[in-house]
Amino acid sequence: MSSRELDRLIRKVPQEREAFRRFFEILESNTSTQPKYVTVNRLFDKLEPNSVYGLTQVITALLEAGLLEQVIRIQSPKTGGVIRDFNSIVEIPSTIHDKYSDSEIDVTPENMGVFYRLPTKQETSSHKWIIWNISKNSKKS
Amino acid sequence: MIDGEHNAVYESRKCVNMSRHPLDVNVLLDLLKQTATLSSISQYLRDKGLPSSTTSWESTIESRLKPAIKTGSITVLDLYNFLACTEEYGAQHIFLYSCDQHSAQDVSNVKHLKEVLSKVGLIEIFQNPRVVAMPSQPIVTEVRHSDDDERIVIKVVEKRIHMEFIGEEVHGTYVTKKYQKKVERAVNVACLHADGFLELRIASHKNSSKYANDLRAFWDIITQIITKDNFSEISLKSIKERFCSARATLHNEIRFSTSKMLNDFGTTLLVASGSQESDLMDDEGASSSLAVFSDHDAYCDSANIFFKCNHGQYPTADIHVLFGGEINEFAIPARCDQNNYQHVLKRIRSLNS
Repeated sequence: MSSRELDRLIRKVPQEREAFRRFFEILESNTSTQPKYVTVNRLFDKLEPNSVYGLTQVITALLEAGLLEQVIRIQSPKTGGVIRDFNSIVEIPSTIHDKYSDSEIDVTPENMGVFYRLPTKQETSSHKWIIWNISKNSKKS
Repeated sequence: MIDGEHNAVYESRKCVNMSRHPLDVNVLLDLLKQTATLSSISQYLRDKGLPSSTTSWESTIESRLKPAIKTGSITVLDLYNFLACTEEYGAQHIFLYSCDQHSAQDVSNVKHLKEVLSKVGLIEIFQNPRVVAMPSQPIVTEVRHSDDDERIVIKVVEKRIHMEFIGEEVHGTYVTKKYQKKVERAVNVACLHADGFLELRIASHKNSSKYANDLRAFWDIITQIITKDNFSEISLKSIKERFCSARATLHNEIRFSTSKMLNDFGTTLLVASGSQESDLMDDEGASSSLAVFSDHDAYCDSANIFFKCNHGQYPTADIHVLFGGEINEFAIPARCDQNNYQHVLKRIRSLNS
């Protein structure tokens, strides 16, 4: 992760300089080989932006830069366990099998949430993940 | 309520000059019936030195309240203030914001406030509430200003419709679920404090835990008086962290009922007490597991707690508080009186600092 990337992001949303700096610190200190998924609330508390609006600007810039990936997660209403992640809201079915209770459940806003995937240590250091995401995002646009 | 403080609270409210749009007594009594409890109205009458025994709402209205109004022992304004104290606290989801003290002073400057209210056609209700039962559109019914800590209070009344499940009908291989539309009155309150602290209190929904749309709609209404751009959300991260790190020291004040902890790998640890009266802190296994999980970068996502009744002081009853939802959101599911609410809010602010 280079300081050039950080500068580029800060130029996009200068008032959230500290939030970007904290994000890069999180990536640099991440030693996990498993991917981490965080909620908007968790990002707010970790990045300490000026406001929720500021956080949306930061998230947008990080998504565009391929440093975050957004997923829509369906969780078991019984256990909170992850049933499945979807890349887009249009892919989400109206019902889904809850493996934790072995039953078909209705997908409602109550058991659905937006999560952001942080790159693992290997992905960050190799930059492969970032390059892959940038190319994926540019194809979308 | 600590003895003798009821009336002091109701009468300290700055509602004056009721003559501009007199309050409808019958609407007021009907709203009291929907909002207050028989025991609270009985206590209110007792504090006023009036006959207070009650058996039903009908008899309370006919044999206690109406005669008291007729003889002047209770004024309509007294009753309004009692209603306001009842409907403005509890059974709400509360969202916390802050702005700098200087901006708060600008907004709450009386001259400036009057100018703004005149511009948006709300000057009629400044310090002069309107009693509305079920408006077709959300309506600002009161704008109060005081020199106390709570500088500006804005009250909005709205009609809500929710669906109540009635039953199901089977027609051959088809099953039809039937719902009935139910109408309810909701009171939302914005309260700006002298130091720039802002509470937006949204009346709880019967069957939803999502308040984003209500919050947006409420901001749209009050933004003509309090501009959203000046405010930032206050994260309740610190108090939730304290629920993990300082559980033992909070034991005398707080009873922990459920706690949901998460980590960034998607692992959830949900711990719930065996009954509403029992405390997770009394269960060594449960509290240790939360502490150990917390040591491994887990965080408290939501919690169900009770501020314990503090005999002779506040709170005068156990106050149930839910933490969860948005970063700046907590909820008080049951109605509570003004003093208990203010005590709990003060403690939450202090524990979150």
